[in-house]
Amino acid sequence: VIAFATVSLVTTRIALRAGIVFALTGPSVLAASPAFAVIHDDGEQPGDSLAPLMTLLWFLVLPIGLFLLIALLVSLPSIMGGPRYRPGLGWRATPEWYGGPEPGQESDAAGAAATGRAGAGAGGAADAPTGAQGEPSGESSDGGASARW
Amino acid sequence: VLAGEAFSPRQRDEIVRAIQLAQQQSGLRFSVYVGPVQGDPRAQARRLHAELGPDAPNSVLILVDPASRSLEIVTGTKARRWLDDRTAALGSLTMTSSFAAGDLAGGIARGLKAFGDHARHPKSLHTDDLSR
Repeated sequence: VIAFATVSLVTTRIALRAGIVFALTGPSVLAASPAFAVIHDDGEQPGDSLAPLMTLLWFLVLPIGLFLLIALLVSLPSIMGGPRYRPGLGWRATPEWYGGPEPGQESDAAGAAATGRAGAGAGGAADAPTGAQGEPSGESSDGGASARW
Repeated sequence: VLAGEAFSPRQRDEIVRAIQLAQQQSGLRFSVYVGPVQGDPRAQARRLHAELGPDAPNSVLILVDPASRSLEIVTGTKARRWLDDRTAALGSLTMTSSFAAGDLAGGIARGLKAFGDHARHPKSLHTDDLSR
């Protein structure tokens, strides 16, 4: 309720300001606009009036076209870059492992034993998680960090 | 929402180059896994780390799960001497701040750069297993 009240307060204030600006400038501009067309300055030579189609072209098609062109140019790099990761929108790409084990090297008993984890060694990859969970974090000889974003 | 390839060739190149640079600088082996995790991310990261085989003690595994938005860094017993947990936490902060902005590859590359810089150490002849 409070949030709604503040929002409505802000919108009414903005509306009030806009109303004052238009009330002050609108009538004078409206009153002067016929004079722009009728009264000419010295040396002014009015050209032919614009055809309706040309008016549409100049004041509608061209601005919209320019808007679209600039929008395209702005978004082109991200379109070229391909799909991009956005936090919270999920991730279904295939797993990738850089600097992973070379073929024939994984489940090497000697290597697993060297890390100081007896449980992980013999059974290979399958029962390694249970071995890792079994050891308390303080006793573990390997370190690192965990983080979330 | 995303299907298929995780990274563009250019992003892939960026990650691979960052791994190579970090390995050259620090003498540690870096491995980056980007993919979904079933269950406990920490356990999964440790399992992947163990899969690195004989290199595992000297390796750093970085697991990034964009779906559950979790990042795990596992350092091996020897790697931990040069890349302590506090440095790992600092690097993870660098990475997650980029991830939160939607830049996965850039965050990974930046984190690897930080790790490579921090883990730089003089080469010792007989205790460093990794010759690369």
